[in-house]
Amino acid sequence: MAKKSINSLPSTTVSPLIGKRRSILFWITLITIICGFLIGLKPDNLFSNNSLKLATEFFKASISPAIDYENPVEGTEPFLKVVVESILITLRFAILVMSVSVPIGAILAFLSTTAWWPENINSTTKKSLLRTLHIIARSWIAFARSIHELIWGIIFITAMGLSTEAAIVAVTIPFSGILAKIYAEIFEEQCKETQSMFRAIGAGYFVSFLVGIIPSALPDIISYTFYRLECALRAAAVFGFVGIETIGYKIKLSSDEFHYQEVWTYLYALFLTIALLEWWGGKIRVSLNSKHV
Amino acid sequence: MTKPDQKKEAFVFDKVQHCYSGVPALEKIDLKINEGEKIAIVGPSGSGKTTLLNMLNASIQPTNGRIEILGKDSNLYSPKELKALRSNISLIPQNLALVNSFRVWQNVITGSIGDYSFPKLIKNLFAPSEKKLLEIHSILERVGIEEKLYSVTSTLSGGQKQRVAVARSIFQSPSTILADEPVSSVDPARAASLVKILLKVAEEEEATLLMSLHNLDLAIKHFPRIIGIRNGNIHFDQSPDQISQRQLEELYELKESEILQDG
Repeated sequence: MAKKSINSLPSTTVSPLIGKRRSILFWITLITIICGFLIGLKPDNLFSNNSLKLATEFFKASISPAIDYENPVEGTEPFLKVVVESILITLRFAILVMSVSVPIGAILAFLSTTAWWPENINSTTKKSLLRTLHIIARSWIAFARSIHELIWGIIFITAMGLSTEAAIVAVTIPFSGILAKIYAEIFEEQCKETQSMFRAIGAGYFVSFLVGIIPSALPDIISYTFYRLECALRAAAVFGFVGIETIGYKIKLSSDEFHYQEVWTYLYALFLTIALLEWWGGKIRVSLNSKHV
Repeated sequence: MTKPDQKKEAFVFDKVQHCYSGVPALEKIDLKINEGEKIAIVGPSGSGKTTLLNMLNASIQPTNGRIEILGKDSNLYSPKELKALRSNISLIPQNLALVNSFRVWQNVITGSIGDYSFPKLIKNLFAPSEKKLLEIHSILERVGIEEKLYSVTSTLSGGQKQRVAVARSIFQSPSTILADEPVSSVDPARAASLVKILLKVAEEEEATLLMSLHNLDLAIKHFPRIIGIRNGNIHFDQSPDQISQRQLEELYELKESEILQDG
């Protein structure tokens, strides 16, 4: 067989892969530099004497996390009990947020997806109603998730006062929006053949969707819900910095007093909780995926 | 005048044409199918077999011409009548359309999805009566996988899944069974076994059976009537002994544009 030479390939003016990639890389670098310049970044701030000293102290504390208060005060509860309690409070906050966000997100996802819609809608009234609900749901989802939970938090805490309830409402709004968007995308990505078959043997649109789409979407939905539970846990911790008594509140108190070993104990406890959630979620994912081969 | 023992016409195609975005998939089809007939539909990929099957349960309406289903124009069925009609016509698609995470009995129950109200469906899917389970078990016995009653469907082999799809079809108690290339992904022995099961089920249930197939040998060996479709037209509609070798060769002949030139 005759050997092929490069000249036998179709001619091109630029190397199709390298040329395009270089151009994209160039533009990304340029935009990054311009953004940094406009935002007033000064990288040397990171390496000033004071910040380096603080950073060294902080990271040094990571190898010896506290098992008791660094500055014990008589009459206070044991430190490790406080750590466990603050984790439980944070977990309760996250679970409450998800308990409200998941059903709202599921309803919004159902309204915002076209995955269950009839192929041909003959009635104008039905068509208008579906489209209106679809637009309202999509708009609300876009609005709810475009504002970060901390900003919702500031709004609600300003309006309702500093309370756990206000914080839960603040986190629930964007979380239900994000869950709705992802759930809707998961529904739309599923293979429609089972759903179509159920339609072809006389099932209604809702039932075909429920039996033809939901079971195959379930592993992805559960996997994403677990991820959002982790996010809710982190959000709960962050809300501690604005005064809600989650683990973030304790971290802030210890940090303000430069008790970095205590800070690391709280951080490790948070990490351990998230790791446990990840492990549990993983086990559920594996068990569900094994049923969807 | 109709003789008393003469079978009624289940489906009548009158110059039926169907186009997808202006491109014809079926062209002026005239066809009559009697109740209880067993028909194999053969033809190359893209010839219009699936479109034809989908017209039989009114999932697809003709662009031109008319189809009579059980004596009524398919366009004149009200949504309620259409639902009733479809719940009486079972479908076994090529990919079987089983819910893999369901147990076998749950998949079989979905055969009657068109007859159930939403609460009844939920009850049957999650808390079926003992009577229902016994009924499903006896159906699974008929298709030879009764020991798989409680198995998760994804754990079954391809051949077993096909039998679950047939069991689902039996549970529906249909007057017509449509099977769209149900044996395209299995070896010849399993393909023949499934075709035999479907024919037996159709015979026992006195149902009309229409099965699209790629395997000509299976069609010729097992079906009393074979319809050959090519480029959206009926190329032949005969009993196997009347079909000539020439007709079969022409059916699968490649167009000039489809032939890959070597060198």
